Amino acid sequence: MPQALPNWLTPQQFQQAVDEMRAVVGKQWVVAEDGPALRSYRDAFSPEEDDVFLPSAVVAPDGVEQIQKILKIANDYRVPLWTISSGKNFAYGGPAPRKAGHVVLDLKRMNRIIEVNEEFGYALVEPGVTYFQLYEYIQKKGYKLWIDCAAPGWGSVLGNTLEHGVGYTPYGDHFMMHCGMEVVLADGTVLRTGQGSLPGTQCWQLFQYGFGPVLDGIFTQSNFGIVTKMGMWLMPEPPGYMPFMITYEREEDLHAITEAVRPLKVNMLIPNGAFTVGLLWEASIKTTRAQYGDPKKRLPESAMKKIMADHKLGMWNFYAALYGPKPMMDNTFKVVREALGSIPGAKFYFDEDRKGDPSWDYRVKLMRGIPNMTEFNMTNWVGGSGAHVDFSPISPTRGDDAVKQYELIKTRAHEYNFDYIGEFAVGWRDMHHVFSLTFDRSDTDQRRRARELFSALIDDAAKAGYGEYRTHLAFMDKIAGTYNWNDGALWKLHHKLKDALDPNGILAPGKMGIWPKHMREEEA
Amino acid sequence: MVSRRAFLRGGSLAGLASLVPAASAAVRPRATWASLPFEAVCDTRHQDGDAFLAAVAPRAYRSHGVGVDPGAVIGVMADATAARRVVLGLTTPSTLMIARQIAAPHGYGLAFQGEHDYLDSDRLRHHLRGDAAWLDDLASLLENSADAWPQALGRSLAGLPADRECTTTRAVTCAARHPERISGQRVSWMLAPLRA
Amino acid sequence: MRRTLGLILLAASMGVAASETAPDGIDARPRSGEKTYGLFCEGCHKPGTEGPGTRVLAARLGWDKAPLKGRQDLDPTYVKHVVRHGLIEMAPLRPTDITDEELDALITYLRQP
Repeated sequence: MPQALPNWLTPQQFQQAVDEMRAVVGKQWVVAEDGPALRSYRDAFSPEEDDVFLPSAVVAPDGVEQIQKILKIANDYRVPLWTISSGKNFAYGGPAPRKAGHVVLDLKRMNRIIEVNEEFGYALVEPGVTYFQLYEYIQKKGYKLWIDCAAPGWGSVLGNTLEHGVGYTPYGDHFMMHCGMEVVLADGTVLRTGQGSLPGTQCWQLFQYGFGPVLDGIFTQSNFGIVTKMGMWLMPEPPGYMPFMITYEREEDLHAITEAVRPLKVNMLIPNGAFTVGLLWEASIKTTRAQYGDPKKRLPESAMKKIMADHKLGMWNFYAALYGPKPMMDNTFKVVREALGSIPGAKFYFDEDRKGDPSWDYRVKLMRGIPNMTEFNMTNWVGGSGAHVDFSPISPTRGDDAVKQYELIKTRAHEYNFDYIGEFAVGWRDMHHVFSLTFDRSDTDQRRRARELFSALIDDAAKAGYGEYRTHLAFMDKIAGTYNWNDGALWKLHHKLKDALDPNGILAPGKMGIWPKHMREEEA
Repeated sequence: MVSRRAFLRGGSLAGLASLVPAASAAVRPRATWASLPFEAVCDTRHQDGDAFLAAVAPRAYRSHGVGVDPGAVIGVMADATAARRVVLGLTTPSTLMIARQIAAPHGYGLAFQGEHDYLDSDRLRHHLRGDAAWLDDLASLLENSADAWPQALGRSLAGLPADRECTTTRAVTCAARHPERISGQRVSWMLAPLRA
Repeated sequence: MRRTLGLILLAASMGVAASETAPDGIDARPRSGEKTYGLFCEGCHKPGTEGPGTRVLAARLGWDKAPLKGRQDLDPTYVKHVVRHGLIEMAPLRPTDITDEELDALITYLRQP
């Protein structure tokens, strides 16, 4: 099939632009013909056919200078560049661009760990640095520092933060823990945010606000600039670590769990990213739907009790940890046990009870920043070519809302013949409710139903006053449309910024529903 | 006993349905495979795969459609090799590569392989590898089958012996008006337990 | 004596610095097969019940034959194919993740027990 190209570029213009980019980065680092190398940029979990989000070319620079030269060419020809860091944002699009035929700017080669400072606890990294890489470096140097990683350890420290990703330690809010960025704008200007703009500063990674407006946020989940360096605060290794798990027997316990955990989180007694995990999320780490029913259909309620018995799980499974000197942890745990243990049927588990169980072991690792890949087991749940897209509304840490969202999602999922596989990431005052819509990609009907279910959920959630925090390429426009208070004032501002910062519209068109001027006019 | 040449050319070339031998023609069953059913794997996203599947399914122990994910062939090969069954396929090269890897540790090899490429000028090229005893006939059949090559190929493979690895190659081209553009090559194949 | 000791210490410290093939924090490319395995393969293909790749393979091969490292039956062309195309839930690894040269080194490394 001939490659899609942006429709304002002729094949000759495209070829010329590609040739000029080759001259910048070297032939080896440009791919512009269909083949395994280009197709390795497909979204492996796409709910659409592969070609819907396939690039026309890929260019991989080695540093800021090459990026600037590529941007000049992109501006000359109006070549749209979709930037990726490690390109492992699966369930949200992976390395693929928003529009078929756009060009991927792959920053994976930029993988220097520029500094790790043990005294203050921070790292300064380039986009290609992964959790595995940073963790290994810190171990090798013997620093007493922990990282906070996303569930898949091969992800980018910088990239995940730009996506507002969350982790499992007390440093779980990744963007909150970033400090200082270096950004290349569409016109090639390089700038540094915060204290980084004071030449000779020692505080670029120590103080987040600098002087004047704090612009770091506009470079996250957006297409206003290319982030080429980022500071990340790292937690000093605590003197003690006490992970624990509580299983709850009944579906309706979700209300009480959420009410009990709220004061513990608002008062920071539970300091880390705690998780209330649904039964099937747990089960999918260790077993498959085929073991308990027809793999092509959602699991009947009757199978739940058997799974709970077989794997010592509850309908809800709460994971959290305490950190610090032992006397402090023991004291705090008394409060935790009283609050969370007051729900009838609650059972507490510690490492000595569950060590060797993969679904326990990987959470113990994540809650102390040891990267791994165990969560990928979840895709085996449905069999076939297992994939998932994540529907992720934000909920207050309130029982009524948790139950409302859970019922809403579960009912709809069952209507479309999918299982509810979900967990609540309990933050300081909110919960990220992640519904992992798991489907068999090789089944055309399942793919279609997955897309339809996701779309229906966006509408349902918006009607109920809930918005998602992150999404897959396929749903960016729709979700952007739900954030429409005051006649869409916020997205109008995003577009004003876009036009000012990227007049030729070369940076990641369509990211989070933000389109360059010439593509908005087209759609209109 | 009807020679294999006659078997393959049974009936007129225009009426390919007559490839099924006439009641009076006694055909030696496939040597050691007479009592062993075969499995068929087809990429059913395109008409070629559908036609091949339709041709082999009546005589196959089981047929499997493979779609967007070539990994689907893994389960098929695992089951087939456990039962020492021959597997016929018309798929993408990816699927064949995976099938070969799964089957190789079980002593399986390729008794036949074909590459089928639609050339620009509405011509079709078949590049075939098989046994000298019947490859010429098969090449000839395909050369004269035009658009009906998947059916012709499927029926032939279902009746061919598969007791040795490919030793001979043949290439033929013919006119073929293909109704839909297929991206990527199609390969046909026969994997059989050839080594202990 | 002190001067000699000083020179010896200096030589020793230079020797330590010289044994690192790349400056600190720079992930030198091309990576060794072992490094590539650690960054991209081990998480899913290590022995035990945590690795998703091992788990899927175990269903067909059994737990003791499922780990990737040490397998002698993998055709190099097949490994390259799977790495670049992906397979079932395994996403492709791109040339910026693992270059062709690094892939060859990885394949050699995987064959070692």
